[in-house]
Amino acid sequence: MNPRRFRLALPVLCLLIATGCGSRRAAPPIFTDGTAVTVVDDTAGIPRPEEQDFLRLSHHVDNFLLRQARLGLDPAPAPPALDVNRFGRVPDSSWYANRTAALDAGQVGQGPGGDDPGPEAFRPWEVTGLKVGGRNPGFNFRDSRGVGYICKFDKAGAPVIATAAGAVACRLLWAAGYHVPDDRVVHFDPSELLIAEDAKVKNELGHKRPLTRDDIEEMLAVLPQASHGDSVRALVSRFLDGRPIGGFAYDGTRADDPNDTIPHERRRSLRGLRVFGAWLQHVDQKIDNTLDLYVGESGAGHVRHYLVDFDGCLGGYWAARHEKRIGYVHDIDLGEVFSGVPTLGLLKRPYEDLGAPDHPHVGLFTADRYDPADWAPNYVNDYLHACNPADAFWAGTVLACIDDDMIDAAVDAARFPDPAAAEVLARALRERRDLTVDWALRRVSPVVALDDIHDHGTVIQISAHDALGLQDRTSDLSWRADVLDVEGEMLHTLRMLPLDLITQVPKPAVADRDYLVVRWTATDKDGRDLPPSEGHYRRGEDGWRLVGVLRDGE
Amino acid sequence: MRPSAPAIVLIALASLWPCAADATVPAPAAPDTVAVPAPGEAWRLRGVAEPLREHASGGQGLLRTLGYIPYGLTELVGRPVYWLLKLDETHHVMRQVSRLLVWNIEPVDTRLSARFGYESGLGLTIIGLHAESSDWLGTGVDYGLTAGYLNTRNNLFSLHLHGREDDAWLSLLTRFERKDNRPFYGLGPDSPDDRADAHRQFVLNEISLNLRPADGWLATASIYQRHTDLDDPERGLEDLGDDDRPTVSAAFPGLYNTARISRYEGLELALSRDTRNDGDFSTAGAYVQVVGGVNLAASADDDDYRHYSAEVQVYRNIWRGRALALRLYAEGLDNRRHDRIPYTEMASLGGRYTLRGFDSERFRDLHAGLATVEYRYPVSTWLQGRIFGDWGMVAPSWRDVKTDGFDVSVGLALAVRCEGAPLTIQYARSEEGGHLYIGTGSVFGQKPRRQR
Repeated sequence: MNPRRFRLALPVLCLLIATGCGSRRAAPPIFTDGTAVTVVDDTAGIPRPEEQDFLRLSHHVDNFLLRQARLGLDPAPAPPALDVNRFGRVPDSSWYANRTAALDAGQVGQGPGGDDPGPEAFRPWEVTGLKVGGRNPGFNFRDSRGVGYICKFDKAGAPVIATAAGAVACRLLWAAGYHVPDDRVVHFDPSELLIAEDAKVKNELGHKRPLTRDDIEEMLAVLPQASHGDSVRALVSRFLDGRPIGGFAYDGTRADDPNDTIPHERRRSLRGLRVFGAWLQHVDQKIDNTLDLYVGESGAGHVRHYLVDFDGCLGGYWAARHEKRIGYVHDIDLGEVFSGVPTLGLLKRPYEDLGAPDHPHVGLFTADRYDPADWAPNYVNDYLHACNPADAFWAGTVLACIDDDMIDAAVDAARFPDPAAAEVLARALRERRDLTVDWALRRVSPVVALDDIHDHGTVIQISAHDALGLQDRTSDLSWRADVLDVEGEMLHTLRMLPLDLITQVPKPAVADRDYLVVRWTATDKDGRDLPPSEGHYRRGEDGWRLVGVLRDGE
Repeated sequence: MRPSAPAIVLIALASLWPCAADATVPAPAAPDTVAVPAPGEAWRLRGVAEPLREHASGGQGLLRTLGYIPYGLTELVGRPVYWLLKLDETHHVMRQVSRLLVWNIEPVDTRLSARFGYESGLGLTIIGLHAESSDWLGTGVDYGLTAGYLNTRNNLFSLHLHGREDDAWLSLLTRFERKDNRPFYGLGPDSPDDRADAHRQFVLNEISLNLRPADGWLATASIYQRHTDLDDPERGLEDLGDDDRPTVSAAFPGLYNTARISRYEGLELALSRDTRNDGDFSTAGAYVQVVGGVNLAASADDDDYRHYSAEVQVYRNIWRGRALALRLYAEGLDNRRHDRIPYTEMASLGGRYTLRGFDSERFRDLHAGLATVEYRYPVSTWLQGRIFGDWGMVAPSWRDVKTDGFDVSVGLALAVRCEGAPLTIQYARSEEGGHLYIGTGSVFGQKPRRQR
């Protein structure tokens, strides 16, 4: 090519590449025949990865400046999640366990610790050191069995709030399928504490010296105390099995873990934390509040991934300040700055009308003015940012399985000194769950149970359920089903009344087809079409069979 | 709070619904387990024949491409900072450096540190030594000792002993400063805008007794010595490239001769009450201070004089954290003889804490009045935007103060809430130009008169 012409054509070529001209595919993706993956075995033995420190200062610069600019300026929707089977579910792995449907309220109340009575049953406790890191005081101890725990307290000026939040959110996230430590509220008498012989503390100059009882009393002196006689209220977290190797990153994979092959921002299990995080006001989702543990024999172990530190949930973050903007903007939010400075305070923020908490033992955690669509965590987090409608729908279906009894059981674990506080928190959790489920399911056309396809004489009948109105038949959605062939050619279309999600395809229309796509589109009461969901079917020897599900964003 | 009807419906749905997670597809009889996919092969878990489409196209692709431009600029600025911080945090560079520069002398409970710095504009290398201790040897005394060598023109030595702030405490301060090229504008509201410079050498010794009689109240009694020497900068100005700036002795011969050497000993009483609800970010409350003092001349050429000042700051919330801050300040000297009071002892306006659109100490006379109004609005919990106007005037007597004689400056500011003291970025404009101030501390927090 003439170099001059090439120079002229180059910008056009770049634009075409950038805009992806010609890349749009008319035909739907094709599912192969096979079963759905339900477990991904990512426990192959690997050498122990290096421990990674959380570097707070550089993290914050990266997070609040670079990451925020990158994600904020990218208008493209997140690509489809990868840790997903053909039906859109997340298989069990070292990241996630599908346990929600199998749990009852009693198990949720017990949490990840199961029927272990906890350290209160195994006294005295032996203090092994003061807590390192974080803003709040605490100490490490062993109970009389030798089981190790970290003990944390409520923040000054905010009794009960953080310890309650830690115990409740831990149970609910565990019920949702995440790996979490056994966190529980305890009461103990400080005079019963023993000090381990090897317990050390650092002085102001950074030198270690033996831990003394005065150090413990000095730490306890500043704590807010709920009324429990002489006992101190605390949240204890059992040390997890395995060797800590640091938190997991917001994006990418861990280079020294060969089992970590799916970029974190492409994991539906992590993206779903956008939905659970909004529900629980889990704003403090940063690397430092996740933990990778190397479990198993050295050289033959594998990495297991945990979420930790939930005392910032449910309004527990900066509990004493009851900061209204939490959950609405990032800690340092460039959008808030760029919109706030030039508007001279004339811009009214959505959180400004929020009132005070309903109970002094519950943080600013309410369904009042809560809109999950507008929720924002404190940190700019790639996998939360990448949560697309299909991811939100998946999380919404899991969240819908957490019923009122489960919530009540989790709230009981908070051991509120005042039962009224438990009712306030449980009510907020129920109301926020309902709003969150409604929002998450409506991100796509909420059709479920797509596997019902039958041969009925002269027609193929395909039925499904409206996830919003599965039982009570109150969904406001009307539906349309388009039946397409493997090339994307429309074979049949049918509009349906709310909830009667049945379409019948005349057999002649599919006589020479072995692959069908049924595209379900819901229309809400405002006449707005929700993004479609697709069921993909293959004809086998024993008739038609669902082979895959795709939702918007995939 | 009563749950709404849709909420009740959804509660019922959630409790009745068997489980949507399983409703999509019946659970298989046995788990279908696969090994972890190879990197880049995870899409095969989906059971699709080829990877799903994932790149933005059309308008989104174009926007994405455009978005990379500002993002690229952010990277250009931020990434080096990130790398440096990360390098520091991983290799503890600053800690290693600080180990070389900070020594803990435990037998005398003192931390000794070396300080280096670079001051833009003049390009000075600051070398200093700082010794400090809080609760020194268990006496309850905090002390700080600073010795600084900036260059031949700017030097500093100060020793500050400070008792633990309680109901009553003593503080001692000895301070020596040499600062070159201080502004010298002449007297009165209509002083010419041609600036002359003088080198200034200043020594202060003071002892203060501080009492806190009740919450929010502070009473301070100070006795002090102030020695101020001015020097005509006939030499050296060429170095700064300001050779057309007049020498102070030529521009203001009378003032310069009076002010060249001044020696005063004084007593000052101050009483203040602070009811602000959030320091420099207050939306309610007030700060009131009255000060009075006598100054006895130690040299025969100068007159004794008394000084007094009053300051009122009022903060009012006008709407959900948007606040008005009003500041009124007046300062006066009771001696009416300009020729017997050194120029440097007179009240001044201009600079970061007063008339912000003007040079530091732009206006001087026996009396000064200042009014400031700031509208402060929250941008975030850590950031406050401000719009302000300053009106100020100096005059030989209060009778000479006229409403049309006030000098005005207006400006914008951002205040960042930091641990210790706010960081403020202020830009102010007046008829004489614009001034940018970046610094920590309250915008109304000028030092006591005796220390200026």
